[in-house]
Formats: sequence, C-alpha cells, structure tokens
Amino acid sequence: MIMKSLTVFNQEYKMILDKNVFEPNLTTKLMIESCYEKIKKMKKINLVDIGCGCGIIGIVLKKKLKIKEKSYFSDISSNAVENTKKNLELYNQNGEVLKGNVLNPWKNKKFNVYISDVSAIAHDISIISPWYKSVENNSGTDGTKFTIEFLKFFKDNNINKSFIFFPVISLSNRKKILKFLNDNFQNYKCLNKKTWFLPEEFNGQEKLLENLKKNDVIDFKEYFGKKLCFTEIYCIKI
Amino acid sequence: MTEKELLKIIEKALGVKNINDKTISKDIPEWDSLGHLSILTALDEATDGKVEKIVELSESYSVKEIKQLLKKNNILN
Repeated sequence: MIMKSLTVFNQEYKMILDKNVFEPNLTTKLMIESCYEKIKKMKKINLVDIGCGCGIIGIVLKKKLKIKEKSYFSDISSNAVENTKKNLELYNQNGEVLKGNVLNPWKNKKFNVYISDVSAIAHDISIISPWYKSVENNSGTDGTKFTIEFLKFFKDNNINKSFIFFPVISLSNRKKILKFLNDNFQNYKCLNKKTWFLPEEFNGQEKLLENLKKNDVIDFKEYFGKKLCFTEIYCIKI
Repeated sequence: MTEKELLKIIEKALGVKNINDKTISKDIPEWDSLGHLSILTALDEATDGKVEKIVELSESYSVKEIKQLLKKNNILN
C-alpha cells in the first residue's frame, strides 16, 4: 500500500494511493482550495466528486468543512472506486462510491455542489506526460471530451441552485471550453489560476508542442526560455 | 535592486522568512518548482520584465546563483 500526501491549507493529508489510480497534483490542491472558499458558508452541503481518483477532493472538503451529510463519489476506473472506499474508511467519513462515466451514475440524484476533476489533457500530451503513465486519459484529441460532457449534463437536465466546479488546463483546448461556457451559462467565474513550467518529460518535443498550439489544441507561453502552462478553476452558479 | 530587496522578494514569493545568501532550494520545502516560478515571476515584476531574458535563472536554485546572474546582468547593485 502506498501513502501519498498533499498539503492543503498548511495541513498534510495522507491518502492511500492504489496502483493505476491518478496521483493528486496541483489541480487537486487548487480545486480543494477554490471549492472550500466558495462553499464554506453553505449550511447543508450535498456534494458529488466526479473523477474522484483516490477520493481526496471530497474527503478533504468533508473533513475541513465538517460535512455530516453523506457525500457521493464516482470514477470510470474500478481501481479508483475501491481506492476511494479505503480512504473514506481511513478518514472515517460517510460516502457512496460508484463506478461510471462523468455524471452517468448520478442521473437520478440532485446535489448542490458538483465537483469534476476528470481527465482533461490533449491525447498527444498525455502520452508524453508524467501524469498518465499508469492511468488512462481518453479525454479526446483536444482533451475537452469529458469536461464538455460534464457541462452538457447541466444543460440537458433541469438542475438549479447548485455550484459546479471544474478545472481548465492549458494543455487542452481551453478556447473550446470557454466558448461552450459562454454559449450555455451566464453565471460563471474563474476562481483561481496557477502557472507552472512544463516538466522535463516534454524536452525535445518542441515541434509537437508548437504544432498543437498552432491548432489551438493547447496553449503555453515562453518564459525564461521554458514553456509556461496554467491551470484554472472555474465555478458555475446555476 | 539591492541585495536586501532581493532577499525580501524571495521571502515574499516563497511565503517564508530567514532567506539568506547561503539558502539553497533543497533547504526550503516551499522552494519547489512552483516556488521557483513564484520567485521568477516576482523578480520579473520587480524589474519591469528585465530579468526574463536571463534564461539561466530558470535553473538557478540557490540565492548565490541568482545573485551572481543578476549582478552579471547589472540588475543587482
């Protein structure tokens, strides 16, 4: 059993991380911090964590906000489902965990906080990157497949009085996601943005990166001779 | 920019205190890749973009190295 830790709010959270489950990273940390600030004053939190991985986002929020109500978790990976169950037990938190794609497991349920941290990286990037060595990406050529599917759910189903949180990473077609947001939602906001250098695994891939950028599949800028990318956390209020 | 100002910029970027001439990134947990980017961004802002052309700064993980590069480029007094 491998334990991985993530420091959020100056506190270290140790989680069980099973084989072939996505390892928490900067996006995870940003997501937890952004959600916390937005929902900390809510009286009753009925939360669902989509693409839960090891369950860290929902579990840390439950701990930090002392959420007594049952929370809900799902992931397309069976390994992630079992991993989240273990961490719920480790942190003595109540939750239901189901296997399924995006919001499919929860079609008949309503929540007031929807959090998605599904895969959102362009395919050509994911195969080089250090983040998807043991887990699948499958979020399409431009990395928007699951994010658009997640957002589309709220347009197709009559959901209201909720907060929806999701990340946009510059290693996907950000313009396409923002256009979808703009065309379909009125009340949305970028809560947080962090920039970071592309890791060394991408050294020597300049031609591919420039080509993907040229075609709006990814975005980055040159800074101190390196490629600078960014992660944003968006919130929609419906 | 003075040496004192440089140390203050690094401290503020990392959110720590007691940065001195001997500090290296390995001594400070906050000086990871994101912390390093915070330092570079803070230096870039403090110098109105003059440091961006010093690409070696992206690989300089100690106060000593940063000071040397800034001095070499006439940014540090």
